[in-house]
Amino acid sequence: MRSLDTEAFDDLIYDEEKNALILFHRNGCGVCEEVVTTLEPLEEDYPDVVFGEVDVETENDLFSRFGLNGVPQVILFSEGNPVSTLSGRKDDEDYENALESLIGE
Amino acid sequence: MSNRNNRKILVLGIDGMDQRITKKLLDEGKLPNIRKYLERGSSREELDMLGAVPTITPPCWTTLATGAYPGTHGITCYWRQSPNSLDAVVYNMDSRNCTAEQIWNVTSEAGMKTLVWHWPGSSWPPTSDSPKLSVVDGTQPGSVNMGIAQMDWEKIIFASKSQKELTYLPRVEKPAGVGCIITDLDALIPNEDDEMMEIWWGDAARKGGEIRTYCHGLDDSELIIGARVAYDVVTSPITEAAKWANAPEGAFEFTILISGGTVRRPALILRNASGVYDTVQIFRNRKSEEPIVTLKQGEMVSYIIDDATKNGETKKSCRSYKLLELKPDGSELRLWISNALDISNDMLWHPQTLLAEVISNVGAVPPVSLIGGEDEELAREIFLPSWETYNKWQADSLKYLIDNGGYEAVFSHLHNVDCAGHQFWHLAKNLEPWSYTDENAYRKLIDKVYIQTDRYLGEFLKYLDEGWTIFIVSDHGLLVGENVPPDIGEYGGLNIGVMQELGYTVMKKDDNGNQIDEVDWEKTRAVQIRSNYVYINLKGRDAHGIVDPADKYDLEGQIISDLYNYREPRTGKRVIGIAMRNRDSRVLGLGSPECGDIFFTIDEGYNRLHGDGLTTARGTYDTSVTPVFIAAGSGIKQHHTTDRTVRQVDVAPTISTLLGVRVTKQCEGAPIYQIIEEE
Repeated sequence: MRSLDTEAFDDLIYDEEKNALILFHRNGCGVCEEVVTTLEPLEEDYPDVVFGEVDVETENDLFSRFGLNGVPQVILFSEGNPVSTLSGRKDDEDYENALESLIGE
Repeated sequence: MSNRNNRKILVLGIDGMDQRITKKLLDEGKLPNIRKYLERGSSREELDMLGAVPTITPPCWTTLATGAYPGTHGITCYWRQSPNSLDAVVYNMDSRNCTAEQIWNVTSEAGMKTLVWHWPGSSWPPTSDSPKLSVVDGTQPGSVNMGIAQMDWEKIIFASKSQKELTYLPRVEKPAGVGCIITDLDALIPNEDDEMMEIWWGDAARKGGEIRTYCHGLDDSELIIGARVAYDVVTSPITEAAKWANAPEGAFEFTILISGGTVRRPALILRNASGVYDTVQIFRNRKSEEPIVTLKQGEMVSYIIDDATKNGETKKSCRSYKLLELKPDGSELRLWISNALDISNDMLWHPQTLLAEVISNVGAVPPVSLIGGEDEELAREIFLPSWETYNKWQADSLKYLIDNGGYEAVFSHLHNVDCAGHQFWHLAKNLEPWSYTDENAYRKLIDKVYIQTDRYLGEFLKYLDEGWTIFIVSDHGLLVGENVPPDIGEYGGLNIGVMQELGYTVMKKDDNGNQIDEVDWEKTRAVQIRSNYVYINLKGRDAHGIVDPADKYDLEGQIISDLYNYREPRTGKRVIGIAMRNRDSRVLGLGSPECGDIFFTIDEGYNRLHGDGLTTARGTYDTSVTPVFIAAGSGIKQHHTTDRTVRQVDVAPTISTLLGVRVTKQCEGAPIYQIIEEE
């Protein structure tokens, strides 16, 4: 997963309008680590989706822009727009369903 | 039945249009189009009509449509009393609650192609399956599609070279009395996103969900809430343009966040040939070749279609923009962006294809601003111009449909006056709670609203030469209050103040003895809810009733007596106008079970904008609650004034007479024969 600062996030999501799955996380957050473990194997299955991670402690303005109340949060983007949000730790199938729906758009 | 007179009828309804100030501005020569209608038609000398009570939007529009009084047609206030709870209301702009027949069902039955346009009283859903009947919205009074198509709220972008961070603050509320300049940012208070549109007019409300609003005093009144200025705030740094595919030399950039802060729109600040920064262009992204919109300071640009995203759904939406301020050196700016209206939502259009027809031939519905209120600059620079745009769109849409759709009967409603009234009318008298506002500035704005309305009405003058009869009518006026209103008579919900003071309504307390928002039904003998109604908490009828039916009559008498004896603490004066039992209120066209056990009014001098008094109530700055009536064109006497008292119940039967169709089944009015030409 690509680590993204705010500038790289803006470039990727809004200027390049990539299909993307972004994990908002915080260092030392155990649940966040579990989500990473779940997402990493999926990255190979979805080559047309950019997998990225944003550390909300260093990129606090993104955290507040998106009105996030906590981590982990996974937001999927298509053509510069958020299309779905998965809060907390979800089942593997939930992430897969969201990715399927993303590439189907 | 055929339309035997071959006439066509156009009703131009203006919500909140007050006969008294209309007459004043007419006499001052400021309403030239209304003058032309009067030259070609009839009215009373003062343009007045007696409205139904309550002087509230849905009951009065329903009376205009049915020729029946509220006690008969069943729409007795903005909200309907919840059948299950004395302290709750339910949605009421639903034609299925109406127990009287609407005139448009008669005209369509008579074979006339009929259009009902945004009529906020018993028009939606259509109650006739006639293929001759078209209906557009009518589920809320604001503007077409406003209740269901909102994708994103209004924003003000503050960008500055000295601003370091990009921030997004939803529904920021500006404190009372604070101006709108960049240095005021620290005074802005973030607010909860209350989604009022959804709560009042959304799917859940329309399905009959209970709404509980407890009004404790002035702070819960619409005068205060309606004038609050709340918008999303984006603050952005201004920097030299970088990473752009096509940025001219010397351009600066800043960032706009839309769709609840989740979507970015970059923008360029451009300089002219003289080196002055005078233009802003907003782009989808920095690789875009063409801007979404180009803005010059002071010009509102509308009909811009951009994506807006809400709850994961992205829709093409219509927005307006205005660059309020741009420093010549490009170092600071303020920019307003309207709410975003989904252009594809045709669920309130019957037939649904009408929306696409209007969009392709006229344009998408332009959003109106709902901010302004106590911020006079926003009221003047944003609120009024946004309505000007909407008024033109509505006029063009109606004219397109009349000219191309074969319509012969059109019943239309426009909300600009009422919407402005609820935002700032009360500020036209400088009372203590809003002492920091300038009454003269707001008086000028009131005049501007009427002048704007006159322009709208002028759009339809040509139909007088094409065989149409045109009626200009309103539901009620809005007055500028002489005094701060008492804590009773607020239409929005349960009024606690005076009824608690008189000992009839008792609220529960928490363990610390602090009052909480829960009625103590074991001690409550009566409540006052909606604009004019008192309900006894009656055993056998109400869920928590404690009053024995045998004691009801005496208790009603006691409450009426106490209401008359109540003295407003600020002035020591009586504030209740009239109070009567339900049965007696039949003389006012009420008296049905929906009309409470006691009906009362607030006395002149203590009224809110409208709703709590009689239709004859007057306010300061030559305002009144009295609606307007003008008829012109085919079948109407020209340049004629009548002494005949004109009532709202008379409008539908007059239309029937002019068209030669039957009267509506529950009609209680009579044709205004005195203005009809002898044939």
